Amino acid sequence: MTRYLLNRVLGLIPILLWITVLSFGIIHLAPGKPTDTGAGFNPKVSLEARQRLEKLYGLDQPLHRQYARWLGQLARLDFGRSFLDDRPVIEKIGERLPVTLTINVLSLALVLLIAIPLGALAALRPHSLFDRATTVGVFIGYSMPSFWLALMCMAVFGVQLHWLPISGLHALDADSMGWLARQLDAAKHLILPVFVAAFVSLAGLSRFARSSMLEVLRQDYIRTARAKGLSESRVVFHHGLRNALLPIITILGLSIPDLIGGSVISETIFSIPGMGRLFYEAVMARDYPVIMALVTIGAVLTLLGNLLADLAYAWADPRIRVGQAAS
Amino acid sequence: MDRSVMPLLQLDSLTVEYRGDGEVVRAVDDVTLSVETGESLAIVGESGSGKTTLALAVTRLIQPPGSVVAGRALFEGRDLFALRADELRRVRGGRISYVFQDPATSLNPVLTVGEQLSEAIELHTDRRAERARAYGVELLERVGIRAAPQRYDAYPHELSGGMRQRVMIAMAIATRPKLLIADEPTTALDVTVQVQILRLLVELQRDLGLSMLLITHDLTIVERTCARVAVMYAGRLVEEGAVADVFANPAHPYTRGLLACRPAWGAVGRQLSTMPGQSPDLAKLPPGCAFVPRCPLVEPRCRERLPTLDTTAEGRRVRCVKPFSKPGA
Amino acid sequence: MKNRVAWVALGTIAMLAIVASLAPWIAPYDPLETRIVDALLPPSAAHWLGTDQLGRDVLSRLLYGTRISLTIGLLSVSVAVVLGTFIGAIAGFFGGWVDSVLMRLVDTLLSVPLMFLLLAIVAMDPAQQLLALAGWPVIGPSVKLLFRWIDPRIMVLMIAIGAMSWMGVARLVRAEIMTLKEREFVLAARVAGASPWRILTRHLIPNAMAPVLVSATLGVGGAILTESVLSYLGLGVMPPTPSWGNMLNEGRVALGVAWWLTMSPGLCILLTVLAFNLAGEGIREWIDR
Repeated sequence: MTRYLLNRVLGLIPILLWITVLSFGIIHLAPGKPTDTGAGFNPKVSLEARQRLEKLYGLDQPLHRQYARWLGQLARLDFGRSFLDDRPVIEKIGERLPVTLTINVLSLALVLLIAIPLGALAALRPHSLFDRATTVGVFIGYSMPSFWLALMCMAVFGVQLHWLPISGLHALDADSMGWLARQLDAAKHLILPVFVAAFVSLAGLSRFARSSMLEVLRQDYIRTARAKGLSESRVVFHHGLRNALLPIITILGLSIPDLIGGSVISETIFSIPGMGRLFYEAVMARDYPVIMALVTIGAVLTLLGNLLADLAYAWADPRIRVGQAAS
Repeated sequence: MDRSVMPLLQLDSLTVEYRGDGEVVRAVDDVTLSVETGESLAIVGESGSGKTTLALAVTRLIQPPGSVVAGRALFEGRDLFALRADELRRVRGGRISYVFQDPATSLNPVLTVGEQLSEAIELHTDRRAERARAYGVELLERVGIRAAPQRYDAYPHELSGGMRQRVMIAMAIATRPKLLIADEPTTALDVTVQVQILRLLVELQRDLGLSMLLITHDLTIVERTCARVAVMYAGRLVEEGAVADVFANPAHPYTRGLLACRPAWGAVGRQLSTMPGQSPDLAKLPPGCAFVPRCPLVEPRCRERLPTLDTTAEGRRVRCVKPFSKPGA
Repeated sequence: MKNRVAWVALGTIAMLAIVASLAPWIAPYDPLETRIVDALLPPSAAHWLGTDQLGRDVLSRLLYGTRISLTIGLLSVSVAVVLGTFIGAIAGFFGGWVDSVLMRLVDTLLSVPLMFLLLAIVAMDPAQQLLALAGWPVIGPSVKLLFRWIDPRIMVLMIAIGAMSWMGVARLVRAEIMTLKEREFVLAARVAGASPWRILTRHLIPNAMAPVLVSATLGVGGAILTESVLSYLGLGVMPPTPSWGNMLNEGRVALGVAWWLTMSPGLCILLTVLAFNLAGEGIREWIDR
C-alpha cells in the first residue's frame, strides 16, 4: 500500500506544476498590468512611482523569470498582497479557510449519513413506492438551482417562521452570550448553509449508492452468503454494503471540487465569511492576487481531497491494501 | 413410512417461472426427482436447461423476478417450501450446502477466508471464536490447502482458483450437511485442477456420508462421480436412471446425442459429432416435445403433445414416444 | 415508467424550443418596458405572473429568458462536445505521450472547482478582450458582425462554460476510442489502406458518440444551471436583458413581499433542467438496451 500511496503522490506533482502555470497565466492574461488597480487609478501617482512599483513586483522581468519568482513565492506561501486592503493574501485566506472547511466537512458528513442509507434502501426494494419516490426526489434535487433552494429556505425558515438565522456566522450580540449559548448560536447559523451545500450532492450520491448497491446484490458472493443460511440483513449489510461502499468512496472524491465551488454560492447568499465569498468579492473588485491564490488553493484542496479518497479506497479494498500475493 | 427408506430429498412437480417484460418463462417445468441418502445424483443438460435454477429452487434461493409456482421439496420428510424463514435458514447451509461454479466471484472479496468460514461455523455449530478458528483451519487442511493457518487469514484474491474452490467446499462441509448441491463445481477451473477437486468431492462424500446433487454439463465428470443421472432439456426432465445403464444404453435421443458428442480419447482423425440446432428459447417453446427441432427421430405425434415421463421395467424414466430407438434403425 | 417519462421530457424540451423561438410573438408585453406605476403587482388577468420592481411583466421576461437559457445551454454544450471530442479522440487514438500530456491537462483543469475557474475567467474581462479582437486586421470585421448579432458578453459566457466542460466529454470519447480501436472493423479499415485521419473521422468518432449524446443532454441542464448561477451573482447575463438567473437576483430583495418574482424563474430553471436530465437518462437507457 505504501507503494500505491507513493505512486499517487508522485502523479500529483505534474498536476500541481500545471496548476501553478494556470494561476500564473491568469494574472498575466488579465487586462492591464497588475499594478493598475492599486496605483493606476490614482492620478497623483507619478510615472516614477509607477515604475518603482513595477520593479517591486518584478513586472519588468521576462516572463519565465516572473514565473520562477512566482514558484518561489508559492513555496513560501507568499501570495502577495490584496489590491483591496493591502493585507497579505495568505492572511485573508487563513481567516476564511476554516469556515469553509467546516461547512464543507459538515455537509459531506450530512450527505453520507443520508444518501447512503437512502440509496441502499431503495436498492433493496427496487421499483417499490419508496424507490420511485426517492428517484423522483433525487431528480428534482439534481435539477434544482441551489441558490434558489437557499432563497426558498431563507424565505420560509428565516423570514416567515423566524426559526433560523439567515446570515452571518454569529448573532449580533454573540459576544455577550455564555459559551454554550454561543456554540448553539453558531450551530444555528450553520444549519441552512450546510443543508443547502449538501442538498445537490445528496441527490447525486444517493442515486449512485442505489445503483452501486443493486450491482453488488447481483453478485455471486451474495448468493453464496444467502446459501450459507445467513439472515437477509446480514447478507445486505455485512456482505453487500461493504462492497457497495467502495465505488461510493471514489465518487465522493470526484465531487469535492463541486463542493468547494458550491461554497461560493452558499456563502454569498448566507453572508458567511468564508473562502467562497472571498473569491466572489475578489472577482467583483478585480483583486487579482487573491483570485490567483484562491484558484491555486482551490485546486490543491481538491487534489488533497482526491488523495484522501484514494487512500480511503485503498484501505477499504483488500485487493489493493494487501496486494496480489503469489499463491 | 419407514424413514430409512424415504429419500433424503424428494422434489415433486417442481415448477419455477420467471416473469419479465410481459413474458413468462418456465425455467423448471414439473420436475420430479429424488436423492437417496448417501447417493449422488447428477443433473445434466446444456446451459439454459434449468439445472442451476433447479438447484437454487430447492432451498428457495430463487430471487425475483423468478419464483417457485408449483411443487414441493421434501427434505428429510419436511416440505422446505412450507417452512418459516428462520427454519429454512437453519436448513440452508446447515443441512443442505452449496458449492457454486465460479470461486472467483462466489467469495466476498473484502472479507478474509477465515471470516467467511467462521460465519458459517458460528451460525450452524456451537463453536465460537477460538474453537471456530481452530475448526476452520482443520477444515482447510482437510480439503487439501497447505499452510492452512496462514491461508485462513488471507483474502480470496490472494488464492488461486483451485484453492478458492477448496475454500468453498470447506465452507460447505463445515456444517456437516446431509446434502451437498454442487453447481458446476469444476467448470471454471483449469483441467488439471478439475480432477483434484472432483477427487476431493468423491472422497468427502465417502468419508462424511454426504449425499450429492451434482449439476454439470460435462458427462465425463458424471461417469466418475455419480451413481444416477437425470437429464434435463428446456426445463423438463427427459431421462433418468443409473449412470452405467444410461451411458451404455441411452433412451432419449437427446441423451444419445450428448453421449455421442464426447470426444473419445485416442480417436484422432475422426470428426467430432455435434448436435444440430441450438438451445431452445424458453420463451417460445413449441407445443409438444421441445427437442423436435433437433431430433433425428421426429414423428408427427411428437409435435402434438408433450410426451409423458414413463418408467421402464428397469427403473429408467424417459420422456419420449420412441425410447431406446437409434436413428437410421 | 421510464419510457413514458423520457418522452414527456423530450416533449417539454421541444415545447421550450418553440416558446423560445416564438417569444417575440407570444409575449404579451415588451420585456424591457418599464412602468413604475405598475410595480410589484401580484399575478392577475392582465399580468399572469405579476410584475417586478420596475413594472415589467414577469411572464414576458420569462419567455425571453427561455431564449437565453436554451441558447447558452445548447451552444456551450456544443463547444464542449466539439472541443472534448477532438481532444479525447486524439488522446485515445494516438496514445503514448500525446495521451499522457493531454490527460494531464484534463486532470489539471478538473481539479480546479468549476466555479472558481469560471469566475476567474470572468474576472479577466474576457468580453473586453474579445472586443479588442475586433480591432485586428483580418478577423476584425467578422468579429464585429458576430457581435452585432450576439451580445459579446453572452458569447463569452457560452464559450467559457463550454470551455470548462469539455473535460468530461474528452474522457468519455477517449475511453470509447481506446476500446473501439481494437475492434475488427478498424483493423479492416487499416488493412484497406485508410489513413489514420480517415479511420478516426469516419469510423471511430461516429461510433463513440453514443455516450457523448447522453453526456451532452445532461450537460445542457448543467450549463443552464451554471448560467443561472453566474447571472444570479451578477457575472453572467446583465440586466435589463432578462435571464432566469438575474431575474432571481432582482427578485431577491423583494423576497418576503413578492413571492412570484422568485418562484417563477426558479421553477422555470427547475423544470427545464429536469426535462434535460430526464431526457438524458432516457437516452442512456435506450442506448444500454
